[in-house]
Amino acid sequence: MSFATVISGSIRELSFFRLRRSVVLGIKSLWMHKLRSFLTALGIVFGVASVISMLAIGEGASFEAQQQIKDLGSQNIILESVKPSNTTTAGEQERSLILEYGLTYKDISQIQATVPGVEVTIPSRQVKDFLWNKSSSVDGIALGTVPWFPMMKNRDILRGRFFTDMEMDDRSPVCVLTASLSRNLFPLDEPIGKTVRMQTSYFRVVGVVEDDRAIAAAESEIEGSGENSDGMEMMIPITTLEDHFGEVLFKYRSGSFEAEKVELHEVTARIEKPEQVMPAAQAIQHILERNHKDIDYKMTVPLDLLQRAERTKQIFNIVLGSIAAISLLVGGIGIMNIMLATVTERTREIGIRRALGAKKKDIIFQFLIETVILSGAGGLLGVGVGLAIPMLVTHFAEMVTIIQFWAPTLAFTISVAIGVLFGIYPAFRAADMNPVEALRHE
Amino acid sequence: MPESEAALTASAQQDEPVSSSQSGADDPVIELRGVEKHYQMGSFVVKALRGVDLKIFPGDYMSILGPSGCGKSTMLNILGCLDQPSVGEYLLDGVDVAQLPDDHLSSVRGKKLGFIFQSYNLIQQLTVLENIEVPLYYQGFTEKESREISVPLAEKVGLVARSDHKPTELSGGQQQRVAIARALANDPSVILADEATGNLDSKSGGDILEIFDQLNADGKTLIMITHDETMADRTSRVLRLKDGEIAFDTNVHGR
Repeated sequence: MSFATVISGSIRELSFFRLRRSVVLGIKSLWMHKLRSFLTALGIVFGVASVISMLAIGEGASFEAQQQIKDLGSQNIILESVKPSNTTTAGEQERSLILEYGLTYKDISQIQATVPGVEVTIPSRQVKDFLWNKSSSVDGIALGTVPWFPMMKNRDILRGRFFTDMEMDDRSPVCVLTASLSRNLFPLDEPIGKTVRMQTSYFRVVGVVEDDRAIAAAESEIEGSGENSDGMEMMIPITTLEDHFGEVLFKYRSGSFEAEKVELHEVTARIEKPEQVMPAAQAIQHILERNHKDIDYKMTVPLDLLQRAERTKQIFNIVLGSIAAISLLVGGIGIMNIMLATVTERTREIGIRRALGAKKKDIIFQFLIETVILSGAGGLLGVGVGLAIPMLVTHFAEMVTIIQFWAPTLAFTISVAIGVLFGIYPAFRAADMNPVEALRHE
Repeated sequence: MPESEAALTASAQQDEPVSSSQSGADDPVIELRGVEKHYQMGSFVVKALRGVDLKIFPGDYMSILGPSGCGKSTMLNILGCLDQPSVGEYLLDGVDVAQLPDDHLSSVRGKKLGFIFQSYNLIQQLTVLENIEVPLYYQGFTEKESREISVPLAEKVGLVARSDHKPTELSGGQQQRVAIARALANDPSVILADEATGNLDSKSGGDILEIFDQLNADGKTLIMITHDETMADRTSRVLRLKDGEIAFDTNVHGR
């Protein structure tokens, strides 16, 4: 008797009421051994719960990572100037007092001219020094940039406004503070309209933008840099920056003296279409390799990071999924084990039922139903536990967890499928018993 | 158990079965023709039945007697369609069931045969009524239809007050009466009883035998397997088996 014919036969004779009676009978039989049934179902409970909670935790973790990358702008290519390490510094520069490195206006114009699909570039320069409000100071950065900076960088303006094209053309001494800088310099006051001093220049505050959490988080993840000036940014028109601080930057730190000449600290290029991002990144890489002898720049392609994160997430999901699947498998084996014991224990009942007119498929169906009830109940309980665990994780570990609507459905379906799969063998064993011997069984 | 006694007031009509059996005795309900049963025991072949020819007629009240090892159990298994003969024909209601496939045998058992076992064989997790309804369940009766049959049967065996009890809450005699009700549920052509009073004290056993008498008086065909001579005395026909053959048959019909 093949499984297919049994199932098709059962389905043909299956009315709702018959199924209901079979389920009631199954529950009665399982209820005879409450503890045993509960412990058996527990294997499935943990399997299902681990599937759901692992998926939720994995989904949450990758969501957080992707969100950080998306904050950088998936159509952006970010170029940064990096001070070359001493070993790679060419001899001629060593003789010069002024360290010259980084991205130049020439790079930008070449990129704009030759790379297809480059929409806008946001050049920016920065000067690191103390920022003053009257007598209180913060170690921070003056960031010279362009008016469309917040739009391109996905950064909201919290108060006031950003500086305008006209202010850039006029080289006006206006500035926009990041939220954390504003909090540090003006803990109690309204910052807008106040002035902030850096070195000998004064800037009028016109607005406050939100912190760049993405960069801060990404940098701390990649390099683990813990400089206090991170995020303490005062944004001013790039023209104003040039006027006030010149091309060469002097730094007096801890008694030592350092001079640097950096034309641009950061350039963000926005690419028109998403599919152009990767080719454009390669083209930019070529231009920079040609223009720079030393690697004094760093290129970040958020889309690339995103794709890599996507791949990591896939691997993560496969690993978590396998672990969860193994626990479900273990649960299934537990169920099969108990059902085999149950079948042996109820040999006599099987004999009685066969004597009273039960066909083999009736017996198969009865035991299959019992297994499915066991695993289904375990699955249902597991869904409950599985929904609770991510909440606890979120509450206590402060991790983002995301429960996809299909995850509980999938886990429950798998648990029922496991009931069927691991119920087949015990059920067939029950049905294949010789009625005469089954009746004689003590 | 006043109900049961009330139901069995007709037990005095013990001489009646003969007449009832004669009235419906046109065709045998069971006919065995040259039935043999062989078992393979290692390299030996054991012949448990060696060519049994037997006719059982509707309304017969028959006991099958014999020492252990004479083939009684084999006989019961074959008559009960739990096992199939190695050689020979078995006609049940005129249909040869000797070589039917398993599913058909199940239907035959469910529709035409009622079983009463020595150890009652009730299903522990089911109540009295549910136990009576088990054969009906496999014949596709609905819950409502089953209830309409099981309640009167519980009444008939005097257990209506204990309808919702589990077997473990009943005495042996009561359990056996549930088993009788269960055997009657499908209105079978033949009721097979295997040492039905073997586990009971003489009082309860007597009650059960009275029910059997009453059933036979109502026209049921009963076959009792026993080793108890006193039981055989109650039945109208006695068959003695010895070494797998019929040694003696009080075939009252002479056919």
